[in-house]
Amino acid sequence: MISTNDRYARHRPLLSDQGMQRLRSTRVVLAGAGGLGSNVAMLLVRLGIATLIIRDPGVLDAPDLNRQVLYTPADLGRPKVEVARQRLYDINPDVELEVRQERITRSSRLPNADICFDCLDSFGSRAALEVALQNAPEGSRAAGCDAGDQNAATLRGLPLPLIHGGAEGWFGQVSTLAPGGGGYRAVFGPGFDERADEEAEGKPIMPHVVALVAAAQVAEFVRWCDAGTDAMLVGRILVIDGMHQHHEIITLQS
Amino acid sequence: MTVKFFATLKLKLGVASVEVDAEPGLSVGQAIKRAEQSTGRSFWSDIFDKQGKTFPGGMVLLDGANIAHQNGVDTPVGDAETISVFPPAGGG
Repeated sequence: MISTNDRYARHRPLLSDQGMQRLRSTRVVLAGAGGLGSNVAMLLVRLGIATLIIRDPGVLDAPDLNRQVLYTPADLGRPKVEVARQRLYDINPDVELEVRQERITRSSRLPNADICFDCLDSFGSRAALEVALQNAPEGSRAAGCDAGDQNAATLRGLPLPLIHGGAEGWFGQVSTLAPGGGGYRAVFGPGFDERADEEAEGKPIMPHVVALVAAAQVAEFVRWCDAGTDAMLVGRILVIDGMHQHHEIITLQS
Repeated sequence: MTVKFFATLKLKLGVASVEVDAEPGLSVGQAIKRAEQSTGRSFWSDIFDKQGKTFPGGMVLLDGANIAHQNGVDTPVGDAETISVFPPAGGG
């Protein structure tokens, strides 16, 4: 049995008491358990969050193995969330895992959480996530107030910070959408989700780029634990160039 | 003014940025056309659809402000210093 003091000894001194307390009590929604999601999940579990809620509809395919760090060839054909649950428990059994093999849709109800990671692979699925996060939480008795019934333009705004990551080829980006802010539309423009066939599945992607983007997403989370959304990439976007090793933060004007 | 290229666009063009002349009244679309001439490569259709609208997931920022929230490619560059062009990249 490993003591908590030993397990977290190397990062505990780097956080404030309040930050570590927040980290240890946080419930995280992870949308997607693919390239970004498996890297993010591994880091969050090693950090020692309280609960990781994972939603992903996929089963493991051979091309996933170049970057999806939780899986091995023996897992081919198995649901990613089931394999992830097993591996993540092996890494740190202190973290509660709530996994479900399903795609997040506009009508999905997600469990209550404190923060969410967007590790999805298309802007259409991101639009659905943004709406689902505004629906009444899973298990609540609230009725008739689902955001999925509303026009996207009338949504109330995100109830929690949403850490966006995207990666393609040698490049990626990270930005955080703040609670109550303008969401994806504010960053990517009003038509960001209009191309239904834009799925990234099958597009080339470098494994180290996925790891860089996922690490930057987790850095956002750690900074949130210590200093809240003011310390995050809100209204800014980190652009990662994994070929030339040139990374840049661009301030977004509204 | 500077037109900066990001991600796969930077790779395609082989340069990270070009300088273009920006006289009063120039639009973002006109500035990007000048950038095409400067690089010697066509990239308009990587960024914009036939109506001149940025492809979903892509971004064209005028000093950090997304032109999709303004007048699109007709947005005047004014006294802005930088146009940043991002092709769509949303995989995970």
